[in-house]
Amino acid sequence: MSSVLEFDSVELSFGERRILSGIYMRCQQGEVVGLLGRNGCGKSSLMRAVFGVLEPGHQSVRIDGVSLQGDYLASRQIAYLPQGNLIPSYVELHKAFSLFKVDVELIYSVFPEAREFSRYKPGQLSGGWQRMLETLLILHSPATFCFLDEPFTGLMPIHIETMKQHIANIKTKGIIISDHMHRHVTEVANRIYLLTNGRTIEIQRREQLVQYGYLNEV
Amino acid sequence: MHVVLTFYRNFRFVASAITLFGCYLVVASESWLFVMPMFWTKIFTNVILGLLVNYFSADQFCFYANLGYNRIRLFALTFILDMVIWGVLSWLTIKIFL
Repeated sequence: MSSVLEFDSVELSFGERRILSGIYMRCQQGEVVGLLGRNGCGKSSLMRAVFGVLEPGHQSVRIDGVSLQGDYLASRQIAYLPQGNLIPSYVELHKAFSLFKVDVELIYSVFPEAREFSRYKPGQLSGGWQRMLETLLILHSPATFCFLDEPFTGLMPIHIETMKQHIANIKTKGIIISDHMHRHVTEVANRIYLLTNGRTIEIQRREQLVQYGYLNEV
Repeated sequence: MHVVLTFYRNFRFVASAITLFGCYLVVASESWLFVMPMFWTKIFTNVILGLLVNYFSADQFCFYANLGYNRIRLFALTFILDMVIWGVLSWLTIKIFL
């Protein structure tokens, strides 16, 4: 049976400014859910809050109806690719893969060129390679649900296509993906949410993205 | 343990230098009386190192959060590890040289 991650009632403010207030999102194991929104609308904050590294005023996160409370990071049910770098500069890639319990042969089967980088530290890689390997690290970690914040940033076009294909082929995880290159998100996602004015709206038709001011035209 | 050892790489040079300096003081003075001041020095310097890493190297915590470690747990375990290393080395120094 596939697991379902749901979260709602996420309330987050920075000073007087309310960032998140009317949130509801649902992600089922085996599906890719896109999260779109303008700059600064709170997409990254929402991911960080639900992942468990940002403490919001209030939130309800449930997996299969069971509420996650307290410090649920230790359960490792959710993995999160942050917008910035993931792997610390002093950690070699093979060490990172080993700590995450990722089968590196699986990674090399998708991106054979990555094999030569295994002894490298992140700073020795180009930004694109670093981003791609970090994304793969999260996607193949033991967590059931993965949050990917800007996974396509810095990737060259051929790698973007391979990565999209790879994400779409992963049927054992629920993936929530956010990226400013919205076409990539809409192509790979089964469902789309738009985050606007602190609340999420499930998008049924592309025209709604124009209607809510996210796109100029379809 | 691997996770804590990896995080400890942030501190290892400074923390090891302080630990070894403490051992050197014990040997040079031929007295264990330096152990207690070194204990407090270790506590103080670990707090300072922890604050520096917390504020100036905060990006790395997402990596450890993905491994199931929040900041408090990570710092606490790393602190314990360093104090155990210091304790063992100080004890060995006293046993061998005094």
